[in-house]
Amino acid sequence: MKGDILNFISAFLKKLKAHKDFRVKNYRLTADFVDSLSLGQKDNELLGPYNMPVSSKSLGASMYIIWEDGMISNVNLNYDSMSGFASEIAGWRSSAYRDESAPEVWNEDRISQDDFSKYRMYDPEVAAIASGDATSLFEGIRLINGELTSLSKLISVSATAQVVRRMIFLGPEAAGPAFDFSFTVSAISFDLDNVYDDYFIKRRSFKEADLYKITEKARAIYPAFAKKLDKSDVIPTSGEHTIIFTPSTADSFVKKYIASNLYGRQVVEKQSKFSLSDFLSRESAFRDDISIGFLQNGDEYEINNIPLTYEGVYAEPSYFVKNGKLITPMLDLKYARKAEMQPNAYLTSDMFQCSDFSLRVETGEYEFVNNVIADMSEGFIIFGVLGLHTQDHTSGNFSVSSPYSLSIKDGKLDGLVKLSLSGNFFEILNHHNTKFLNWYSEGDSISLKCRCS
Amino acid sequence: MGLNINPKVKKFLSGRSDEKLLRDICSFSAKALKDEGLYLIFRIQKKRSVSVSVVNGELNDITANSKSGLGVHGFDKSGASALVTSNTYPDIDIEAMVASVRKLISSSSKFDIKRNASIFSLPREINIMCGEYAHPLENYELDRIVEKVKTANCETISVEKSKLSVSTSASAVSDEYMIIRGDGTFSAFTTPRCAIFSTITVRDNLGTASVSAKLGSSDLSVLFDDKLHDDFMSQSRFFAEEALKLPSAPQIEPGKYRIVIDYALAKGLAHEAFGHAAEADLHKGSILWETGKFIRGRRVAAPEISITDGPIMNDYAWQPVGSNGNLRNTVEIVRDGIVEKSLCDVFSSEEAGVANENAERIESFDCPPIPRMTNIRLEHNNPVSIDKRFCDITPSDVNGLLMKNKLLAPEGDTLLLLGYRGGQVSPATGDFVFNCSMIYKMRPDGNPCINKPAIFAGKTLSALGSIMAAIGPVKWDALGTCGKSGQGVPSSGGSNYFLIIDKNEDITIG
Repeated sequence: MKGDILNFISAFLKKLKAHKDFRVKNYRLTADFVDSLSLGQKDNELLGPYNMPVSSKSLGASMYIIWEDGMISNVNLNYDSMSGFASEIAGWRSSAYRDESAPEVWNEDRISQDDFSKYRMYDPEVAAIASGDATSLFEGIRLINGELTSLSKLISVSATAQVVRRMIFLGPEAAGPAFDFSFTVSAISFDLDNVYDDYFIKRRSFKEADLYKITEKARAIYPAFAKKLDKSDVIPTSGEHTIIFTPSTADSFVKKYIASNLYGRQVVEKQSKFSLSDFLSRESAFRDDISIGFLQNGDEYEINNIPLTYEGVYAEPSYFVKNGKLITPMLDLKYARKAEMQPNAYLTSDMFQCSDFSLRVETGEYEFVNNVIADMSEGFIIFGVLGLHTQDHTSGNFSVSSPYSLSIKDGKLDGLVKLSLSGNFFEILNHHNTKFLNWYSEGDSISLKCRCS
Repeated sequence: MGLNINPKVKKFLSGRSDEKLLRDICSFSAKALKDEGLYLIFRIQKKRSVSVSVVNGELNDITANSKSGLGVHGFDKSGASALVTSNTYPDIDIEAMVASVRKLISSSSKFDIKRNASIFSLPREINIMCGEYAHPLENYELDRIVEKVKTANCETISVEKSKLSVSTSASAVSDEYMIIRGDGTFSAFTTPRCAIFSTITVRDNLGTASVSAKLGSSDLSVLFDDKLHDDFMSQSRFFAEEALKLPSAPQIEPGKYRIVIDYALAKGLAHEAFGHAAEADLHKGSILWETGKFIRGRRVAAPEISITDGPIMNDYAWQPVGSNGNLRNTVEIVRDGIVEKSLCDVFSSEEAGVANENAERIESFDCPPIPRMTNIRLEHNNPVSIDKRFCDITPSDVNGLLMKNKLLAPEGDTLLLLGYRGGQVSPATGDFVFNCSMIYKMRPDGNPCINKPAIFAGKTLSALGSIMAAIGPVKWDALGTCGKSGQGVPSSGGSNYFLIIDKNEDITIG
């Protein structure tokens, strides 16, 4: 595209306002201009026809329109449809619908543009990589190869840098965007022999120390994968055993069973384990030392560090569950209105431009995972499970397979075994034996007891 | 820039708003190849979609989407490559984008990179494919679509209004691609698709359970072809009725069983557990790769079994042309139980030692093409016949057919698994996990008993080798979205109505 993105959108909105068919009461336009660069290595081969450098620029926008007659339209736009908007308006209007629960356009006054500087969400180094300088991505891949070649026959690595400029325009009378901010994403991930993986993802570029942290972990753990154990020797009969979830496994369970049951739409429309009245009466649903919330880290460039939701609502750090009691569902504007509650940090991949945001589970104390392993007479570390996305989150029941579980014997990693795990995640979470641990950061790993076979 | 454009292409381009730009792209790509040996593939996508969602009888949302863009994929003579994309099409600067391609290739060439120059050997083709459909999107007002979705939702919830919550959504997509290569190849095709999906949640004092029904087509047949829409509604009513029994249903004792799976679960098995291993970029380290080569000629199933992948007209995942621009072949991956071919593209065929099938696809213009399935079906050539439509068959019917044909397990239980809820596989080991919506224990008295769902886990080759029989003709409309390498593309497939898999030490339920 030729020219500045803000000028392009402003000119589009100006012409739109003047168009005879655009008779609206109000609107919100959230636009993302994304610049990214990614590349990778597959099975020891750097780049190649499936992992070549990919450089992308894209403009995407979503527009929420309240027409003069109160009808609602939701349209997702791109550069072409904004440029040729005159022929699109009829389509927007024809897809309008009446919705008694439709929210007004939200004018956020709890946070302003000036407050954004405290959010560590933009790293100019990442922006430079995203604009086409791939050197540090190659260096990251080289470092990982150098550290792990002796451990693994096949190493695959992916590296990416992305910069997003987000502009939120509110209403036909606004002179410019109500909010305009940029954030970056830097990620590098590797897998060894298609069986062990780890990653770094933050809003700042990765440093050597970040990569050494994940490669050292692999060097400590991966050699135990070489020893294949016979399941019948490790667990002759199925029964309850202590297991430890790696951070990514723990995150998958938390998102599947906790987040899915906290989204406002699921709660209000009776598709969640919890009902709206459970929240209104502050029902105890979790162990009383457990709190669950959306938290941010001002000192680190975490993916969670974003000031606003995609609808322009202040993404205020807050608890959905506090001391075991249900406080509020995760509410977007529509379901906040339906629930007659305040909108809050409604977490979606649109908001973060990636799905690696996190819901934090707090319990107050976190033992270091290495200490827990050292104290275990027997147990397993679960490096990912198959089939979690197919489970029914409303019931809490899970029945999954883990082809890559490491057996722990007398405090030491023994070898690889394939397990089937089953139980009810809510019952397990509330059990007094379940602990949240510190793997890379506080609470990112869980030790629990469940049925293993 | 002057260039002799093929008359078919000229006719296709004539009168388009972007005609001049497309002609320039044709000229530019030809000149880059001739003058500097830079092989360029331009991929242009224009996508429009509308989705409608109804929750518990009320219209919840209508969203209209549009997306268009251009990807410039370049290869130098040594086979180093890069992809540069922009979604500002048609406002693009071709020269600047190609300059970025050159820069990325140049900077990566300093490293010891994998190079592949096979693209230079791909034959030139002109493929302009215009599908004709009975129910194209442009024939229907949005109001009619909304009404149809609302009716489907209300009918489903009416099964038991006090206990059910139902979300029904439909999406209709028109995805137009043009692929222009420096060797003169020009391909244009549109892949329309439409799907309807209901999530049915039951809550009572014994607990909650959630099941789903879905069906798709290329055009809006799944909404407006009475017979096909009735298929979806039968599925929805059946799942709603059975979901009501799930909170109080018993749990299956984990173990090894003879199992019967429906065609949607069989599609999952064929796609996740076998199809991905048959994709040439995933061969290495997969169950189909041994001693440095693809295991062509190896028996993996009974002689009655074949596994085929390829586009089917008016299917949800129809895509007749590969994303590098050449016509896609229908591939018999397994013929009469023996591994025959792999899903290859031009870059992978030499290494895999099999023919190029142009089996590459992309999610959108900004993604690199990778080998992947369209419609995969696992077929048994001598099934037990049945004279009912799939949607009219009950678990009792299956129980009866198994008894009549002496297919119940001689020892232990036989389980019927219905309703595919997705699955996952480890390509390295062939371990798979699938989940279903419900399980029925088949009984000698002909009255099956419903149980809660449980996972169906095992080893791919063990599962294929244990298919002992099938019931009914092949049905291949089980739809999904395949997420390989982070790219979501529509997929579909199926099998005979039901496959019977004998008890095997490597296959577990629960």
